[in-house]
Amino acid sequence: MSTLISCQGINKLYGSKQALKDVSFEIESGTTTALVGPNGAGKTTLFSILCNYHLPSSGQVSILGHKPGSNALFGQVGALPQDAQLDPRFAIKHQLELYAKLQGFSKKQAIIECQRVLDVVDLSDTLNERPDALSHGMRKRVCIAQALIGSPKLVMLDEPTAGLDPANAKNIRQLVMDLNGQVDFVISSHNLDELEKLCDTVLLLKQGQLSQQKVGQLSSETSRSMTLLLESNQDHALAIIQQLSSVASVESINKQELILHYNATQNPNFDIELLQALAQHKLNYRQLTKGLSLEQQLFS
Amino acid sequence: MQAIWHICQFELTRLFLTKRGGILLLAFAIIWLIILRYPVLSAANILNGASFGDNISAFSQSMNLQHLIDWNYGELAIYWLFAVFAFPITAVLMSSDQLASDANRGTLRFILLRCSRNQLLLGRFLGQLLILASLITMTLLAAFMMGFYRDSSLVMSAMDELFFVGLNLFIIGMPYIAVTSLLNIVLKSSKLSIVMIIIVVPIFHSIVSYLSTIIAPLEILLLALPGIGLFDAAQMPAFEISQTTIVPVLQTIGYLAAAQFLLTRRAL
Repeated sequence: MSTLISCQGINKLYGSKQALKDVSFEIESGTTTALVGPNGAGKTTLFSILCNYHLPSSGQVSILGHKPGSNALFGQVGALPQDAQLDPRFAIKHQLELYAKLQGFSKKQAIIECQRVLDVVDLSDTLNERPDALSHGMRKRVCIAQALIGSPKLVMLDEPTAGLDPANAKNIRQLVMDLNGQVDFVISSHNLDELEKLCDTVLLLKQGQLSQQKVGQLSSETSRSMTLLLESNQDHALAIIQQLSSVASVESINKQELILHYNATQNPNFDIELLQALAQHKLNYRQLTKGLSLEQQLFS
Repeated sequence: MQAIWHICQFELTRLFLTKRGGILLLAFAIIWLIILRYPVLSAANILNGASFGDNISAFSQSMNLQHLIDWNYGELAIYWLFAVFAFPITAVLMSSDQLASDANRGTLRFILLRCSRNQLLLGRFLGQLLILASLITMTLLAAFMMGFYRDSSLVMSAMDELFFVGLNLFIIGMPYIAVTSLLNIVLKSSKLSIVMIIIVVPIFHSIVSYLSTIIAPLEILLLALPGIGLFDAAQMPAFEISQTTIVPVLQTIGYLAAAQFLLTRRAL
């Protein structure tokens, strides 16, 4: 695998405020990466530096071996910047065609490519519409469509589902899943459940510092844990589960959600043992997840 | 170069295919219809009148307009007198939103994934120049056609005038478009850019002019202001290339260099 993004010692100062402090990381190609952190942590600043919208105060950034903003990256990197909107005075077709032509498409090819990317986001009938004639969710999907013009190698999405209704958010998640393997994504979001489904690498920013980089879901801690979400009013479940022979410890997140740590060497089929025990004691559950949730991994 | 050309072409569609562009064009057309219908149409009679020279001298000593009598084409002479002041304002109004709205809306972020900031700046500037050139050409030809209907025998002798009027107007308009580019980057607002050029620049000009009567070297500051040679241009025979045409070219290069410097360093 080659290096997709490399950042070394990135600092960003806005006056006296330091938005990013010595941020260094590398992302390999073939991964979908989540950029998470609380508000004001520096996610959008880092995203903007990667897209060459902001310049770092110091440090080195390389994307696919080139500096952000290099001619070599035009058409190789797509992005959905947070809150960026298309020009409301022009039809979507006009704007997407311009973007395609800037990426080297001929006029004829540009029209076909615009149709293709709008098909991908399921909005092919909006080609001649102006952006302000569309709903917020549709506009967001059109903006994602522009990021897909020319089938870039890397697509960066900043808050792609923020402010969307569940149906539109699901469409976007589905779109990312469908394109997984063809495109490497970097997704900045507050929705950890969503990122958990989509991403295999996580960058956590806190107060401008990259405090954690998880590569892959299966860290050693994760591989020896399960998260169980029970139906309500089953207070006796905790005692029953603790009695299972392979269980090392049980953490109760709340009355319904339990994290089970178990001995994987002693019982590699712990999940089957657990399900049998639940069935035997007529305990109803909603969800059983292998490993810790992303929220647990990052913030517990 | 191809990216610059695509951006440049898109600027043309911005004027000719959008509602805002249409309204600006309509306003422009109405104003020029009035100018062409009244002063320019009657130009020949005015300029060819026996007492014109006396009247114009009496009219103003500071505005030395007697050279207008020397023009072959009376229509072009009057056209020049109006156009030399009208096109700078037109250039500012038409090009007032080269970058500001797109930057505030985030649209520039989509574009900058596909071209450099230099290409964007240059493409939009050249697009506005094309618009200016097309507007000058349209109005100039209209004035020319009026003269043609009056006396078609003068057509060949007016070709030089036609060419140099167009060229000079184009050159006079250039620094206004370039300074609007610069102000769009600095002020991040198209309206403030207009206010700055139409109101603040003349005020600044007056202050510097006054101060330069006390401290003479300050006069050099005036060279940085667009329109510094506008009155000189109005007074000169339009079919000459002189210092009044060189200064706008140098100003244009200066403004664009400053705009490039700021745009490549600004967060977008």
